[in-house]
Amino acid sequence: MPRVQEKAHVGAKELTAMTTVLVAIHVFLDYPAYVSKYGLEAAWMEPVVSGVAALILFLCAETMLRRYFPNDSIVEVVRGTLGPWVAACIALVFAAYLILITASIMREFMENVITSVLPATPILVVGGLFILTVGYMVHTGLEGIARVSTMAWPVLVLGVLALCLLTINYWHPYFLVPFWGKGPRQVLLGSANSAAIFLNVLLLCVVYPHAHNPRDLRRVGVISTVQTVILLTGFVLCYHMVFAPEETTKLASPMYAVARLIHIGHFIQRLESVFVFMWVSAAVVKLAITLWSAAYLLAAGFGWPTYRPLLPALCLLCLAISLLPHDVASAFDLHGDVLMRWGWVIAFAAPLLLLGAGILRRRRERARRA
Amino acid sequence: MLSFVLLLIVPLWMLFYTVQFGRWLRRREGQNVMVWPVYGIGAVSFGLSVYVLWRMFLS
Repeated sequence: MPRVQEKAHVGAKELTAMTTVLVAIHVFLDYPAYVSKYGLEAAWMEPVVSGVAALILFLCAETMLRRYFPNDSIVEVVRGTLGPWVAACIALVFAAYLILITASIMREFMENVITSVLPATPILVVGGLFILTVGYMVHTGLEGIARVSTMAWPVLVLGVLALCLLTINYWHPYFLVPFWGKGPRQVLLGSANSAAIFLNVLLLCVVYPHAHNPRDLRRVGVISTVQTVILLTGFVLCYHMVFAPEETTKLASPMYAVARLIHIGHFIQRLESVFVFMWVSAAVVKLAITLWSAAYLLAAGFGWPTYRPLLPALCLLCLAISLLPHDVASAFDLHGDVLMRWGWVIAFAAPLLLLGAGILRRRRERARRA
Repeated sequence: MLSFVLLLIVPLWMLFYTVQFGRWLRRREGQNVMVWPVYGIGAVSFGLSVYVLWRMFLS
């Protein structure tokens, strides 16, 4: 079966930026409000717990790929061990999940843009422009996405840092006590339910053959996960020091709510429109990574030599799915209750199980030959 | 109605483009490659887009 003609080779720096942007972008979505529902005052612990779990699973997946399947993506591993039909089914499931993630996140950002800066613009226009940009980025391929990620990464980090520091005059550190919030059990439950944002295990299994030096991937995973955890924890801490615990669970767009508060003086105030453009740029990168992964997995799973001619169909599919929920509430419910809660099955369990099955099969074959 | 008809051009063009991709794949790779998912994705994408447009402009 032919391989996808994607000859991209991405360096460690670009991959680190890509993985960081992929996960840290959730700070702009409803993630801070979602984790606050479980932990309340202790919500800041949830990104730390889920980040540590994701890092351990990432290292396991990386070790398995490096030892047993160098130069293979997850689909090629499955094809080599379980056959082409299973590989096609697995590629379809992963791609469907990534398309749903793209559509759901796109809808959240469309709603953010409409409520914050473009209230009179039809949602179809905002979504259309969004998907056109994402489609163009995906068309440029993995190298293009990786380079844009490298440029977007400092903007994202500086944006979050500025947002946290500019609200320093609203910080109430006593909002962070009691230390355990609703209790350690709720913190663990929240961490488990929100761990699906760490898509780096799945991304590793997709981009593994395109890494300039696969040996760097361990460092890439560690650095990007640590950076992401620091960004997420920092913002959740700031969010919880600014708003009262009960209020933090009710805000649909925490980042926008925090940005609106900025008032350092007469000159530095009402900066939310500046931040919105920053968030949208970072969101485009995240959507491009998930859509590229979906397109690449489909092409690799079904043995197509290229994925680019399928992009119009995938872009339109994402736009249509993003517009399916009737209102903002149902869009947020779909993201939180379905994709976030059950995403770990696709993001962690499935890649690790498939790699494990591949290793067992390979060992059994070797033993039979011996 | 006019908006619906005008915007329908986009899914129709996408369907045409996707079918052309499927036919190109069949010509190039022969029986070696699975082409039905291309048509499947194109059909699902077309159906959902038309449904969304209909809900926005005609329902």
